[in-house]
Amino acid sequence: MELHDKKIKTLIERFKSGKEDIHNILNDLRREVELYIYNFPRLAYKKGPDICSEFYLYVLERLGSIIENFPLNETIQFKTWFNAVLRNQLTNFFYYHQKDRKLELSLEDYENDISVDVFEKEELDLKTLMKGLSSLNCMERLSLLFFYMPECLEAEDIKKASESFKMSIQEILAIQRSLIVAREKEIQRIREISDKIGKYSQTLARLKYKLYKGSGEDLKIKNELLQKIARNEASRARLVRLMEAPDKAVFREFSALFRNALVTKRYLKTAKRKLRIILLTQKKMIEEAL
Amino acid sequence: MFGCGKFSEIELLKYLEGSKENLDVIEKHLKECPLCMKEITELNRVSAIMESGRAEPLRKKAFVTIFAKNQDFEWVLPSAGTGRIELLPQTRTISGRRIKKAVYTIDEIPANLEVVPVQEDTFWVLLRSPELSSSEAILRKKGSLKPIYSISPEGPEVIFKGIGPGEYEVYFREYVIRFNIKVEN
Repeated sequence: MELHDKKIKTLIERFKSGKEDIHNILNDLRREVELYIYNFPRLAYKKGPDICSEFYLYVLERLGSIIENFPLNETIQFKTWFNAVLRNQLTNFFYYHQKDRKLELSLEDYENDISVDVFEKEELDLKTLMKGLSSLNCMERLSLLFFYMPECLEAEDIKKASESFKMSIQEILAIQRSLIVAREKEIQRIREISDKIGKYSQTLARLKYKLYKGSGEDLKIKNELLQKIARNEASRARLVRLMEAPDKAVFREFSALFRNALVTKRYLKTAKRKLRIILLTQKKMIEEAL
Repeated sequence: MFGCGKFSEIELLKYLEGSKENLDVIEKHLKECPLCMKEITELNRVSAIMESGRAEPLRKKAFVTIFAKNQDFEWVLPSAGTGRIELLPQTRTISGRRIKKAVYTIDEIPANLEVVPVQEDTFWVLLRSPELSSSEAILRKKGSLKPIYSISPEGPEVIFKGIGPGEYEVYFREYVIRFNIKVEN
Protein backbone atom coordinates (compact mmCIF):
# COMPACT_ATOMS: atom_id res chain seq x y z
CA MET A 1 0.00 0.00 0.00
CA GLU A 2 1.35 3.35 -1.00
CA LEU A 3 1.13 6.72 0.71
CA HIS A 4 1.94 9.85 -1.29
CA ASP A 5 4.78 11.19 0.82
CA LYS A 6 5.19 14.57 -0.89
CA LYS A 7 1.47 15.30 -1.12
CA ILE A 8 0.85 14.38 2.52
CA LYS A 9 3.79 16.45 3.75
CA THR A 10 2.51 19.48 1.79
CA LEU A 11 -0.93 19.05 3.36
CA ILE A 12 0.59 18.77 6.84
CA GLU A 13 2.60 21.92 6.20
CA ARG A 14 -0.58 23.78 5.21
CA PHE A 15 -2.41 22.31 8.20
CA LYS A 16 0.28 23.43 10.62
CA SER A 17 0.58 26.92 9.13
CA GLY A 18 -3.00 27.61 10.23
CA LYS A 19 -3.54 30.05 7.35
CA GLU A 20 -6.18 28.02 5.53
CA ASP A 21 -9.40 26.31 6.45
CA ILE A 22 -8.25 23.47 8.70
CA HIS A 23 -11.42 21.46 8.11
CA ASN A 24 -10.80 21.26 4.35
CA ILE A 25 -7.15 20.30 4.73
CA LEU A 26 -8.02 17.65 7.29
CA ASN A 27 -10.57 16.25 4.87
CA ASP A 28 -7.94 16.04 2.13
CA LEU A 29 -5.56 14.37 4.56
CA ARG A 30 -8.23 11.91 5.58
CA ARG A 31 -8.74 10.92 1.96
CA GLU A 32 -5.00 10.27 1.58
CA VAL A 33 -4.62 8.06 4.65
CA GLU A 34 -8.05 6.50 5.28
CA LEU A 35 -7.44 3.21 3.47
CA TYR A 36 -4.08 2.88 5.17
CA ILE A 37 -5.64 3.37 8.61
CA TYR A 38 -8.57 1.07 7.90
CA ASN A 39 -6.35 -1.75 6.65
CA PHE A 40 -3.66 -1.38 9.33
CA PRO A 41 -5.13 -3.80 11.95
CA ARG A 42 -5.98 -6.36 9.25
CA LEU A 43 -2.61 -6.36 7.49
CA ALA A 44 -0.26 -5.80 10.40
CA TYR A 45 -2.08 -7.83 13.07
CA LYS A 46 -4.59 -9.98 11.16
CA LYS A 47 -7.61 -8.43 12.86
CA GLY A 48 -11.14 -8.76 11.52
CA PRO A 49 -13.43 -6.17 9.85
CA ASP A 50 -15.08 -5.08 13.13
CA ILE A 51 -11.81 -4.00 14.65
CA CYS A 52 -10.71 -2.38 11.38
CA SER A 53 -13.82 -0.16 11.26
CA GLU A 54 -13.70 0.73 14.94
CA PHE A 55 -10.02 1.50 14.80
CA TYR A 56 -10.55 3.63 11.70
CA LEU A 57 -13.12 5.77 13.54
CA TYR A 58 -10.93 5.91 16.63
CA VAL A 59 -7.97 7.30 14.65
CA LEU A 60 -10.14 9.60 12.58
CA GLU A 61 -11.33 11.37 15.71
CA ARG A 62 -7.71 12.03 16.62
CA LEU A 63 -6.30 12.69 13.16
CA GLY A 64 -5.82 16.42 13.75
CA SER A 65 -3.75 15.99 16.89
CA ILE A 66 -1.82 13.05 15.37
CA ILE A 67 -0.84 15.03 12.29
CA GLU A 68 0.14 17.99 14.47
CA ASN A 69 3.00 15.89 15.87
CA PHE A 70 4.61 14.98 12.56
CA PRO A 71 8.17 16.39 12.53
CA LEU A 72 8.27 18.25 9.21
CA ASN A 73 11.87 19.37 9.72
CA GLU A 74 13.16 15.77 9.85
CA THR A 75 14.21 13.76 6.80
CA ILE A 76 11.89 10.89 7.48
CA GLN A 77 9.23 9.31 5.29
CA PHE A 78 5.67 9.90 6.41
CA LYS A 79 4.74 6.22 6.23
CA THR A 80 7.63 5.12 8.50
CA TRP A 81 6.48 7.59 11.13
CA PHE A 82 2.81 6.80 10.55
CA ASN A 83 3.38 3.05 11.06
CA ALA A 84 4.87 3.76 14.48
CA VAL A 85 1.98 6.10 15.31
CA LEU A 86 -0.68 3.63 14.18
CA ARG A 87 0.92 0.88 16.19
CA ASN A 88 0.79 3.03 19.32
CA GLN A 89 -2.78 4.06 18.52
CA LEU A 90 -3.79 0.41 18.13
CA THR A 91 -2.32 -0.39 21.55
CA ASN A 92 -4.25 2.54 23.06
CA PHE A 93 -7.38 1.51 21.18
CA PHE A 94 -7.27 -1.97 22.71
CA TYR A 95 -6.52 -0.57 26.12
CA TYR A 96 -9.38 1.94 26.23
CA HIS A 97 -12.01 0.26 24.09
CA GLN A 98 -11.51 -3.44 24.44
CA LYS A 99 -10.47 -3.94 28.04
CA ASP A 100 -11.43 -7.60 27.89
CA ARG A 101 -8.84 -8.19 25.20
CA LYS A 102 -5.15 -8.70 25.60
CA LEU A 103 -3.27 -5.43 25.79
CA GLU A 104 -0.23 -6.62 23.91
CA LEU A 105 -0.60 -6.67 20.16
CA SER A 106 -0.23 -10.20 19.04
CA LEU A 107 -0.73 -12.07 15.82
CA GLU A 108 -2.01 -14.97 17.89
CA ASP A 109 -5.31 -13.13 18.38
CA TYR A 110 -6.10 -14.21 14.86
CA GLU A 111 -6.45 -17.77 16.10
CA ASN A 112 -9.62 -16.76 17.92
CA ASP A 113 -11.24 -15.99 14.57
CA ILE A 114 -10.56 -19.45 13.18
CA SER A 115 -12.92 -22.30 13.95
CA VAL A 116 -11.68 -24.61 16.68
CA ASP A 117 -11.02 -27.70 14.58
CA VAL A 118 -8.90 -25.81 12.04
CA PHE A 119 -7.04 -23.97 14.77
CA GLU A 120 -6.18 -27.11 16.69
CA LYS A 121 -4.79 -28.74 13.60
CA GLU A 122 -2.84 -25.63 12.60
CA GLU A 123 -1.42 -25.27 16.08
CA LEU A 124 -0.20 -28.84 16.04
CA ASP A 125 1.46 -28.39 12.66
CA LEU A 126 3.16 -25.15 13.65
CA LYS A 127 4.35 -26.70 16.93
CA THR A 128 5.85 -29.66 15.08
CA LEU A 129 7.50 -27.35 12.58
CA MET A 130 8.93 -25.09 15.27
CA LYS A 131 10.19 -28.10 17.22
CA GLY A 132 11.84 -29.40 14.06
CA LEU A 133 13.40 -26.00 13.36
CA SER A 134 14.80 -25.77 16.87
CA SER A 135 16.66 -29.05 16.30
CA LEU A 136 18.67 -27.49 13.45
CA ASN A 137 21.85 -25.50 14.00
CA CYS A 138 21.52 -21.70 14.24
CA MET A 139 22.50 -20.86 10.64
CA GLU A 140 20.24 -23.53 9.17
CA ARG A 141 17.29 -22.53 11.32
CA LEU A 142 17.76 -18.85 10.46
CA SER A 143 18.12 -19.63 6.75
CA LEU A 144 14.80 -21.44 6.67
CA LEU A 145 13.06 -18.77 8.73
CA PHE A 146 14.40 -15.98 6.51
CA PHE A 147 13.43 -17.79 3.32
CA TYR A 148 10.03 -19.20 4.25
CA MET A 149 8.73 -17.16 7.20
CA PRO A 150 10.53 -13.79 7.27
CA GLU A 151 7.59 -12.15 9.10
CA CYS A 152 8.01 -14.64 11.98
CA LEU A 153 11.57 -13.57 12.79
CA GLU A 154 11.88 -12.22 16.30
CA ALA A 155 14.26 -9.70 17.83
CA GLU A 156 16.56 -12.45 19.10
CA ASP A 157 16.67 -14.06 15.63
CA ILE A 158 17.66 -10.74 14.05
CA LYS A 159 20.47 -10.33 16.60
CA LYS A 160 21.70 -13.88 16.01
CA ALA A 161 21.48 -13.39 12.24
CA SER A 162 23.61 -10.26 12.55
CA GLU A 163 26.30 -12.33 14.33
CA SER A 164 26.00 -15.43 12.15
CA PHE A 165 25.92 -13.68 8.76
CA LYS A 166 28.43 -11.02 9.91
CA MET A 167 26.22 -8.10 8.95
CA SER A 168 24.92 -5.09 10.82
CA ILE A 169 21.46 -5.26 12.40
CA GLN A 170 20.38 -2.52 10.01
CA GLU A 171 21.37 -4.65 7.01
CA ILE A 172 19.64 -7.73 8.40
CA LEU A 173 16.45 -5.73 9.01
CA ALA A 174 16.56 -4.41 5.44
CA ILE A 175 16.89 -7.98 4.10
CA GLN A 176 13.99 -9.13 6.27
CA ARG A 177 11.88 -6.26 4.91
CA SER A 178 12.70 -7.09 1.28
CA LEU A 179 11.95 -10.74 1.91
CA ILE A 180 8.54 -10.01 3.45
CA VAL A 181 7.66 -7.79 0.47
CA ALA A 182 8.90 -10.37 -2.05
CA ARG A 183 7.02 -13.21 -0.30
CA GLU A 184 3.79 -11.21 -0.24
CA LYS A 185 4.12 -10.37 -3.93
CA GLU A 186 4.73 -14.05 -4.65
CA ILE A 187 1.61 -15.02 -2.71
CA GLN A 188 -0.43 -12.45 -4.64
CA ARG A 189 1.02 -13.76 -7.93
CA ILE A 190 0.08 -17.34 -7.03
CA ARG A 191 -3.44 -16.23 -6.02
CA GLU A 192 -3.96 -14.46 -9.34
CA ILE A 193 -2.72 -17.50 -11.30
CA SER A 194 -4.94 -19.82 -9.21
CA ASP A 195 -7.96 -17.65 -10.01
CA LYS A 196 -7.18 -17.86 -13.71
CA ILE A 197 -6.69 -21.65 -13.48
CA GLY A 198 -10.05 -21.89 -11.73
CA LYS A 199 -11.73 -19.97 -14.54
CA TYR A 200 -10.13 -22.19 -17.19
CA SER A 201 -11.31 -25.28 -15.27
CA GLN A 202 -14.87 -23.94 -15.21
CA THR A 203 -14.80 -23.24 -18.95
CA LEU A 204 -13.36 -26.70 -19.60
CA ALA A 205 -16.05 -28.40 -17.53
CA ARG A 206 -18.73 -26.48 -19.45
CA LEU A 207 -17.20 -27.35 -22.84
CA LYS A 208 -16.78 -31.01 -21.96
CA TYR A 209 -20.36 -31.22 -20.76
CA LYS A 210 -21.51 -29.60 -24.02
CA LEU A 211 -19.50 -32.15 -26.01
CA TYR A 212 -20.94 -35.04 -23.99
CA LYS A 213 -24.55 -33.83 -24.24
CA GLY A 214 -24.42 -32.99 -27.92
CA SER A 215 -23.10 -36.41 -28.97
CA GLY A 216 -25.66 -36.61 -31.74
CA GLU A 217 -24.61 -33.38 -33.44
CA ASP A 218 -22.53 -33.17 -36.57
CA LEU A 219 -18.80 -33.70 -36.66
CA LYS A 220 -17.97 -30.08 -37.50
CA ILE A 221 -19.44 -28.76 -34.21
CA LYS A 222 -17.77 -31.56 -32.25
CA ASN A 223 -14.47 -30.73 -33.89
CA GLU A 224 -14.77 -27.08 -32.96
CA LEU A 225 -15.56 -28.02 -29.37
CA LEU A 226 -12.57 -30.35 -29.21
CA GLN A 227 -10.31 -27.61 -30.55
CA LYS A 228 -11.60 -25.20 -27.93
CA ILE A 229 -11.03 -27.78 -25.19
CA ALA A 230 -7.47 -28.38 -26.40
CA ARG A 231 -6.71 -24.66 -26.47
CA ASN A 232 -8.10 -24.14 -22.97
CA GLU A 233 -6.24 -27.15 -21.60
CA ALA A 234 -2.98 -25.88 -23.09
CA SER A 235 -3.52 -22.45 -21.51
CA ARG A 236 -4.33 -24.03 -18.16
CA ALA A 237 -1.24 -26.25 -18.29
CA ARG A 238 0.91 -23.18 -19.08
CA LEU A 239 -0.49 -21.43 -16.00
CA VAL A 240 0.13 -24.49 -13.81
CA ARG A 241 3.77 -24.52 -14.97
CA LEU A 242 4.00 -20.80 -14.20
CA MET A 243 2.62 -21.35 -10.72
CA GLU A 244 5.06 -24.16 -10.00
CA ALA A 245 8.06 -22.21 -11.29
CA PRO A 246 10.66 -21.40 -8.60
CA ASP A 247 10.27 -18.06 -6.93
CA LYS A 248 13.22 -16.03 -8.22
CA ALA A 249 12.47 -12.73 -6.46
CA VAL A 250 12.45 -14.25 -2.96
CA PHE A 251 15.62 -16.20 -3.71
CA ARG A 252 17.37 -13.08 -5.01
CA GLU A 253 16.59 -11.16 -1.81
CA PHE A 254 17.51 -14.15 0.32
CA SER A 255 20.90 -14.62 -1.35
CA ALA A 256 21.96 -11.19 0.01
CA LEU A 257 22.65 -13.05 3.28
CA PHE A 258 25.30 -15.25 1.63
CA ARG A 259 28.44 -14.83 -0.45
CA ASN A 260 26.87 -15.93 -3.73
CA ALA A 261 23.89 -17.71 -5.24
CA LEU A 262 25.64 -21.09 -5.26
CA VAL A 263 26.38 -21.00 -1.54
CA THR A 264 22.80 -19.81 -0.90
CA LYS A 265 21.33 -22.71 -2.86
CA ARG A 266 23.55 -25.25 -1.11
CA TYR A 267 22.72 -23.89 2.33
CA LEU A 268 19.00 -23.82 1.70
CA LYS A 269 19.00 -27.33 0.23
CA THR A 270 20.94 -28.81 3.15
CA ALA A 271 18.76 -27.07 5.75
CA LYS A 272 15.57 -28.22 4.02
CA ARG A 273 16.80 -31.81 3.80
CA LYS A 274 17.81 -31.85 7.46
CA LEU A 275 14.46 -30.42 8.54
CA ARG A 276 12.59 -33.01 6.47
CA ILE A 277 14.56 -35.83 8.12
CA ILE A 278 13.88 -34.39 11.59
CA LEU A 279 10.16 -34.03 10.88
CA LEU A 280 9.92 -37.55 9.48
CA THR A 281 11.79 -38.95 12.50
CA GLN A 282 9.41 -37.08 14.84
CA LYS A 283 6.40 -38.40 12.96
CA LYS A 284 7.73 -41.95 13.06
CA MET A 285 8.40 -41.66 16.80
CA ILE A 286 4.84 -40.45 17.40
CA GLU A 287 3.40 -43.28 15.29
CA GLU A 288 5.48 -45.87 17.14
CA ALA A 289 4.42 -44.43 20.48
CA LEU A 290 0.79 -44.75 19.43
CA MET B 1 8.71 6.83 24.12
CA PHE B 2 10.33 4.30 21.85
CA GLY B 3 11.83 1.21 23.54
CA CYS B 4 13.86 2.07 26.63
CA GLY B 5 13.92 5.77 25.71
CA LYS B 6 17.66 6.15 25.22
CA PHE B 7 17.09 7.22 21.62
CA SER B 8 14.21 9.30 20.37
CA GLU B 9 11.57 7.69 18.17
CA ILE B 10 12.71 9.78 15.21
CA GLU B 11 16.35 8.67 15.61
CA LEU B 12 15.35 5.02 15.55
CA LEU B 13 12.90 5.45 12.69
CA LYS B 14 15.64 7.13 10.66
CA TYR B 15 17.90 4.18 11.48
CA LEU B 16 15.21 1.84 10.22
CA GLU B 17 15.05 3.78 6.97
CA GLY B 18 18.78 3.20 6.50
CA SER B 19 20.27 6.41 7.91
CA LYS B 20 23.95 6.18 8.87
CA GLU B 21 23.59 8.86 11.56
CA ASN B 22 24.83 7.47 14.93
CA LEU B 23 24.89 4.04 13.30
CA ASP B 24 27.54 2.45 15.54
CA VAL B 25 26.04 3.82 18.74
CA ILE B 26 22.54 2.62 17.85
CA GLU B 27 23.78 -0.81 16.71
CA LYS B 28 25.71 -1.23 19.97
CA HIS B 29 22.67 -0.21 21.97
CA LEU B 30 20.34 -2.54 20.07
CA LYS B 31 22.62 -5.48 20.81
CA GLU B 32 22.37 -4.69 24.51
CA CYS B 33 18.77 -3.52 24.86
CA PRO B 34 16.08 -6.18 24.25
CA LEU B 35 13.30 -3.58 24.57
CA CYS B 36 14.53 -1.38 21.73
CA MET B 37 15.44 -4.43 19.65
CA LYS B 38 11.95 -5.83 20.05
CA GLU B 39 10.33 -2.52 19.08
CA ILE B 40 12.50 -2.01 16.03
CA THR B 41 12.00 -5.59 14.80
CA GLU B 42 8.26 -5.26 15.20
CA LEU B 43 8.15 -1.95 13.39
CA ASN B 44 10.29 -3.37 10.61
CA ARG B 45 7.82 -6.22 10.15
CA VAL B 46 4.83 -3.87 10.20
CA SER B 47 6.46 -1.51 7.65
CA ALA B 48 7.18 -4.38 5.27
CA ILE B 49 3.71 -5.86 5.58
CA MET B 50 2.01 -2.50 5.09
CA GLU B 51 4.18 -1.84 2.05
CA SER B 52 3.35 -5.13 0.36
CA GLY B 53 -0.22 -5.65 1.59
CA ARG B 54 -3.22 -5.14 -0.62
CA ALA B 55 -5.82 -2.63 0.52
CA GLU B 56 -9.41 -3.62 1.02
CA PRO B 57 -11.98 -0.95 0.21
CA LEU B 58 -13.30 1.12 3.04
CA ARG B 59 -17.02 0.70 3.47
CA LYS B 60 -19.06 3.80 4.16
CA LYS B 61 -20.29 3.37 7.65
CA ALA B 62 -23.04 4.83 9.81
CA PHE B 63 -23.81 4.14 13.44
CA VAL B 64 -26.86 4.53 15.55
CA THR B 65 -27.63 3.62 19.14
CA ILE B 66 -31.24 3.22 20.10
CA PHE B 67 -32.27 3.13 23.74
CA ALA B 68 -35.56 1.49 24.58
CA LYS B 69 -37.08 1.74 28.03
CA ASN B 70 -40.31 -0.06 28.87
CA GLN B 71 -40.76 -0.72 25.15
CA ASP B 72 -40.61 2.97 24.37
CA PHE B 73 -37.70 4.52 22.55
CA GLU B 74 -36.17 7.29 24.50
CA TRP B 75 -33.14 8.51 22.60
CA VAL B 76 -31.62 7.96 19.23
CA LEU B 77 -27.98 8.84 19.08
CA PRO B 78 -26.83 8.73 15.48
CA SER B 79 -23.52 9.44 13.81
CA ALA B 80 -23.47 10.73 10.23
CA GLY B 81 -27.20 11.31 10.18
CA THR B 82 -30.28 12.35 12.07
CA GLY B 83 -32.57 10.34 14.30
CA ARG B 84 -36.06 10.91 15.51
CA ILE B 85 -38.79 9.11 17.43
CA GLU B 86 -42.21 8.77 15.81
CA LEU B 87 -45.47 7.59 17.27
CA LEU B 88 -47.19 4.84 15.33
CA PRO B 89 -50.98 5.13 14.72
CA GLN B 90 -53.28 4.77 17.73
CA THR B 91 -54.41 1.31 16.57
CA ARG B 92 -51.05 -0.30 17.24
CA THR B 93 -50.21 -0.93 20.87
CA ILE B 94 -48.14 -3.19 23.09
CA SER B 95 -49.72 -3.87 26.50
CA GLY B 96 -52.17 -1.04 25.81
CA ARG B 97 -49.43 1.53 25.13
CA ARG B 98 -48.94 3.26 21.82
CA ILE B 99 -45.83 2.16 19.97
CA LYS B 100 -43.01 4.49 19.11
CA LYS B 101 -40.56 3.76 16.34
CA ALA B 102 -37.03 5.00 15.91
CA VAL B 103 -36.19 6.45 12.51
CA TYR B 104 -32.62 6.97 11.43
CA THR B 105 -31.90 8.94 8.24
CA ILE B 106 -28.29 8.72 7.18
CA ASP B 107 -26.41 11.58 5.52
CA GLU B 108 -23.74 9.92 3.42
CA ILE B 109 -25.68 6.77 2.64
CA PRO B 110 -28.94 7.03 0.75
CA ALA B 111 -30.79 5.03 3.38
CA ASN B 112 -33.32 5.17 6.14
CA LEU B 113 -33.47 2.69 9.01
CA GLU B 114 -36.51 2.16 11.19
CA VAL B 115 -36.66 0.12 14.37
CA VAL B 116 -40.12 -0.87 15.54
CA PRO B 117 -40.88 -2.82 18.73
CA VAL B 118 -43.37 -5.66 18.13
CA GLN B 119 -43.20 -7.48 21.45
CA GLU B 120 -41.22 -7.22 24.61
CA ASP B 121 -37.55 -7.16 23.58
CA THR B 122 -38.38 -8.04 19.99
CA PHE B 123 -38.10 -5.61 17.11
CA TRP B 124 -38.60 -5.33 13.39
CA VAL B 125 -35.88 -3.50 11.53
CA LEU B 126 -36.87 -1.91 8.27
CA LEU B 127 -34.28 -0.63 5.83
CA ARG B 128 -35.20 1.62 2.90
CA SER B 129 -32.76 2.58 0.19
CA PRO B 130 -32.95 2.99 -3.60
CA GLU B 131 -29.66 1.04 -3.71
CA LEU B 132 -31.30 -2.05 -2.24
CA SER B 133 -33.10 -3.17 -5.40
CA SER B 134 -29.81 -4.09 -7.06
CA SER B 135 -28.05 -5.53 -4.05
CA GLU B 136 -28.10 -8.17 -1.37
CA ALA B 137 -28.80 -7.02 2.19
CA ILE B 138 -26.97 -8.94 4.91
CA LEU B 139 -27.73 -8.59 8.59
CA ARG B 140 -25.29 -9.97 11.10
CA LYS B 141 -24.74 -9.62 14.80
CA LYS B 142 -21.58 -7.71 15.64
CA GLY B 143 -18.64 -10.01 16.23
CA SER B 144 -20.22 -12.93 14.40
CA LEU B 145 -19.23 -13.90 10.89
CA LYS B 146 -22.47 -15.75 10.15
CA PRO B 147 -25.33 -13.66 8.79
CA ILE B 148 -28.74 -13.76 10.46
CA TYR B 149 -30.45 -12.64 7.26
CA SER B 150 -29.25 -12.54 3.70
CA ILE B 151 -31.94 -11.12 1.47
CA SER B 152 -31.98 -9.94 -2.14
CA PRO B 153 -35.00 -7.62 -2.10
CA GLU B 154 -36.92 -6.91 -5.27
CA GLY B 155 -37.77 -3.36 -4.21
CA PRO B 156 -36.04 -0.60 -2.28
CA GLU B 157 -37.10 -2.00 1.09
CA VAL B 158 -36.20 -4.92 3.31
CA ILE B 159 -37.57 -6.03 6.71
CA PHE B 160 -35.61 -8.03 9.27
CA LYS B 161 -38.02 -9.59 11.74
CA GLY B 162 -37.58 -10.97 15.23
CA ILE B 163 -34.54 -8.92 16.16
CA GLY B 164 -33.56 -8.85 19.81
CA PRO B 165 -31.50 -6.25 21.66
CA GLY B 166 -27.81 -6.05 20.78
CA GLU B 167 -25.39 -4.69 18.22
CA TYR B 168 -26.00 -5.47 14.56
CA GLU B 169 -24.62 -4.55 11.16
CA VAL B 170 -26.47 -4.34 7.86
CA TYR B 171 -24.31 -4.64 4.75
CA PHE B 172 -25.50 -3.65 1.30
CA ARG B 173 -23.42 -2.58 -1.68
CA GLU B 174 -20.42 -0.70 -0.27
CA TYR B 175 -22.32 0.44 2.82
CA VAL B 176 -22.53 -0.72 6.39
CA ILE B 177 -25.03 0.51 8.94
CA ARG B 178 -24.40 -0.47 12.50
CA PHE B 179 -27.17 -0.18 15.01
CA ASN B 180 -27.26 -0.97 18.65
CA ILE B 181 -30.55 -1.62 20.39
CA LYS B 182 -30.16 -1.15 24.12
CA VAL B 183 -33.06 -2.19 26.29
CA GLU B 184 -33.68 -1.17 29.87
CA ASN B 185 -36.69 -2.55 31.69
